[in-house]
Amino acid sequence: MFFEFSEILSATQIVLSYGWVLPIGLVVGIVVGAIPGFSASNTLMMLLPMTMAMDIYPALIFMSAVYCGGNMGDSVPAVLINTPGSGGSVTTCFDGYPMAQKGLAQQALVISIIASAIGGLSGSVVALFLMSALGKVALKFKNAEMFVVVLFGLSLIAQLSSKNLAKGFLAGFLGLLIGAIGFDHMWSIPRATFGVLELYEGAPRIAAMVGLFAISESLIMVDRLTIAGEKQRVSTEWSGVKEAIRMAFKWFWGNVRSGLIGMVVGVLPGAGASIASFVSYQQAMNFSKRPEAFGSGIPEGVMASESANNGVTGGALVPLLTLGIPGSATTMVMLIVIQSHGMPIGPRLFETAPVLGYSVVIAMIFTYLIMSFVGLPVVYRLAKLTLFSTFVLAPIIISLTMIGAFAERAYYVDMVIAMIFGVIGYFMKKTGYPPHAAILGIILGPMVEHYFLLSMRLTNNSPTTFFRSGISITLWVLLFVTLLGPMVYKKIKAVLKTN
Amino acid sequence: MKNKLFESVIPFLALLFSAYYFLTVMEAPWEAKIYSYVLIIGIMICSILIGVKTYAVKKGTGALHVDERKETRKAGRRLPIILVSSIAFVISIYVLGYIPSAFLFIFISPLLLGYRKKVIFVTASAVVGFIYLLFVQILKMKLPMGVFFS
Repeated sequence: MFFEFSEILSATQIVLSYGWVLPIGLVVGIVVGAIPGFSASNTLMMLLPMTMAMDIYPALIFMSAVYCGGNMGDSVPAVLINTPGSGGSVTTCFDGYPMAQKGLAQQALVISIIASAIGGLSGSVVALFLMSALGKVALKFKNAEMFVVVLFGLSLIAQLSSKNLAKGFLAGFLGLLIGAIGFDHMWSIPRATFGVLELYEGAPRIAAMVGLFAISESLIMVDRLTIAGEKQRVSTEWSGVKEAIRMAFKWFWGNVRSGLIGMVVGVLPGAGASIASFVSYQQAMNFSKRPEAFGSGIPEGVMASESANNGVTGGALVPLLTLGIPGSATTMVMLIVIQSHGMPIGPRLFETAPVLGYSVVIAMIFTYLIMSFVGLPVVYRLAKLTLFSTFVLAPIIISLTMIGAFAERAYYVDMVIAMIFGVIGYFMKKTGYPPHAAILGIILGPMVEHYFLLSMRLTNNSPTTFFRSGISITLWVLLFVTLLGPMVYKKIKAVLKTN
Repeated sequence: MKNKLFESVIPFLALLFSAYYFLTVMEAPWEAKIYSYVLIIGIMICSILIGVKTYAVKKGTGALHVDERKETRKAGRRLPIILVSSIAFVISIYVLGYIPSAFLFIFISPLLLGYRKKVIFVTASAVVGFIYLLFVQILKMKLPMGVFFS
């Protein structure tokens, strides 16, 4: 323990000596995260030649800051134009955009910054001190356990569909089926590729996301003159910022809880910010005194999503630094940089260069500490965008999202696919089918199938594989409690009230 | 009748896609198709339930949820304009490349929609300039050049 503390202190000194890199990386991350479909991982991949040429410490500190900034910045389009900047901010749209439509865009943006900072900070601090223990826990999550974790995320489809179950489930099933386009996991047989070579790898998730959200929303928004509504007053005063900060701290422990949910999910390799924010949103809804208000534009919905979205960053570093397994696309780029500098990866990192490992997490902690001060001046005036003419905004949004669609794989056909999904998303929104359910299916569907088939294959097609380990049984129990618990609780409460 | 057609678009597309998917995996081993079969059955059941509910509404025995009534209002004339110009934008990216196409799209679409302020030229130039600076110069990203310029 004493040995670890001295390493942590040395790492802190190194991070502070390169402190000037943090605000630069944070601003870069926020800006690129705010472009729908263009995430921090894309940016870091493009800046790889630069980071590989830098000294290892400033390179990793810069990448940590961009990662954190990207996960915060993706809430900006989610609030302003109902378009998630990345998969982790899909749930931010549920309440952030309704808040913007009520003229509360500034509040929503400020709340998301503070919640991101609190959630990210709690996730990073816990990850710092429990790193080796969490790494060992992550190893125990095999295919069967991961299958149940992903089911957690998918179960949100049921809760999102409360207004019309049939339409919600149809959208979810359609999304899952679209996610199953491409080579299958066992035999590499192409499925439903329409003869398009680029679809053999699967349906492009970013193109689907920007199409279903950004492009469809742009097609819809031209029916109004402005996003906020012609008679809506949009607050951009400093008093609104203070009120939003007060609101965010009022829900402080909720943000911490969501950040820790994000951290735990982030520890699981491949789980990612999408699942973290879905699970956190669902838990916040279940624990809330007014669950029916979620989705109508309440701050708790924004905070639950953003805290978890940023709590993931600390968790994703755990498998990277302790096991050498990248937990996300961004940490994969970090791994490349670590390896290129001749540093060991996996458990040997903390034996031979522990200060390096700790410095990455500490850089993240400092980034979250300064996030509110750096991020607020950048984003709080963006609320005025809701007063701009939609005739100008819509083509700009479509142009920017096309870059996001193209950036994932550099295929022109992804832009065409994004446009097709835009038209589908338009019809979905106009006829009451939740596009969120569809994108949930597209993102999580491939994971569900992958973990399901692998689990079955490795145990000679025995379905009992999903109920063998203590971890999977615990997860199943939690899943059923999450799904049925609120219903049972309401019924018991009603019966007690009658009696 | 028009409303019912509009309402049927998503279930129709879902069933059409399911049928196509089924045809592509019919001959495949069970691991390649079991998952999709479950989903296709789910889509069929949901489509039947939605069809029954829509039919019940038509007969007057059911009722649409409040949000569903709002969502079936007609789209204005601006929708075809933005839709056609977006499709033209995507096609022109293939021909002219991204940067010229984006400038033309951001400049012309608002004019077609009825926006008459002269600042649109400056706005289009500023947005395209920002995209060029950030993505091409700083991030060194290769945007589509188009067959005309490549």
